[in-house]
Amino acid sequence: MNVDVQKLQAQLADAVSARVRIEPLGRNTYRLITPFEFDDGDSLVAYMEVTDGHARFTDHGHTLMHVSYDVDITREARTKILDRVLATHQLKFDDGEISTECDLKSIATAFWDFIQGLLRTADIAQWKVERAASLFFEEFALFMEQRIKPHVPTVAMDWHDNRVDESGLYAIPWACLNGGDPLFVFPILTTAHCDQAVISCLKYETADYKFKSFAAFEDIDKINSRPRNQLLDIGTKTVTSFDAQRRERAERLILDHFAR
Amino acid sequence: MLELTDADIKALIAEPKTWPGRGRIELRREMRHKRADKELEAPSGRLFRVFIRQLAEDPLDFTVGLVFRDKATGESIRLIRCNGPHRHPNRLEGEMIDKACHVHMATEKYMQANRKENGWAYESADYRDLDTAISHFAKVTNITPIPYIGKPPAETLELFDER
Repeated sequence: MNVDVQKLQAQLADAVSARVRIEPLGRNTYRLITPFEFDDGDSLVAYMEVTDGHARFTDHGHTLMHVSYDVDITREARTKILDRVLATHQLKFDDGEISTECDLKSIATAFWDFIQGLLRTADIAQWKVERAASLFFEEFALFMEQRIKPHVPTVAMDWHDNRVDESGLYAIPWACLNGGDPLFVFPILTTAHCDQAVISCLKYETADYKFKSFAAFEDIDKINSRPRNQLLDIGTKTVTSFDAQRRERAERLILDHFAR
Repeated sequence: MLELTDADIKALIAEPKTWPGRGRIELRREMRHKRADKELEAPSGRLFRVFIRQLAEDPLDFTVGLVFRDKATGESIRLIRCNGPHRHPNRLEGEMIDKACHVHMATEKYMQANRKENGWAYESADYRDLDTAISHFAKVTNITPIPYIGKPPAETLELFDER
């Protein structure tokens, strides 16, 4: 099939109001040179395959690879955010590859959506600080729901025992109550959260209430040493961050408590 | 954001760092790319992270980078990154590197211009693929032993006398 490269180039450039160059790579495959960039100046990677009146745009997985320099792209909540971005632009997502297909008549619209989707995906790197904060608790809740609750059905959120804390001022974010001593579970993002965990534990400890405690830090290095050490002194088991490896460990530590 | 001078950046890059073990790197598959990440603590106590990425579809689409993480603030900065051969514009200088291996460096100039700290890059003929990029990167960033993916480089063999 003969492809009018000049015509396609003009259509793509018009779609994104920018200069676009099409470089042939193989029989039906082209590299698209665009002025769109990641924040560090590297160009977005875009390829086009044209066959039988159809076009397919793909990034071959480069965009998420680039984002992964700074961001853990596998975290469940982040994947959900990505899904929303891609759905907005009707893009396909297959194990990291972002792509879209169209007939040649609608190539301009499809290309516009493809570039917008890549740009918005690339921007995830900008969210890392802000999103990490808001996503941490969402991810932790998912972790408790999916990995702990099936084994420990009596998990309560914002729990308190009226005998010790009648007003609920010292509420425990997550309490696992499978008989025996309960396990108090604290997701900790900031020093204030760590302080709160210490205060809650001390409240129950001074009331001679039997419990064990576990804390998952988003990043322990961001927490002031005083409350961090106090939490450890109480005997709290911890994971120092909440990446995939430490989530495994967190799961093991929590479930081990009930295996005894 | 961390405020570093060009001299600070060069000193951090040149600071001696030790790769744990004998330097063997295990790349693992994640989505459409392969990756490895390694936290390094310099004898000074400073924290660094090395990240390596390579696209499965295009082995020349790779990067090897060094991140400095400030313990006090928790902030991170990408100090240097060896990239494969593709286009890169130096926006503040109005220059274009076209399809050549290039090294991104953090600079005071880009930080002060509110650009990504490692937005500037220079063309490099010191490496041609991921393996040679890792060796070059390790020399520039003063990492020993020189890490490797397949066969240990000569320097590592000498260090452990395994020839």
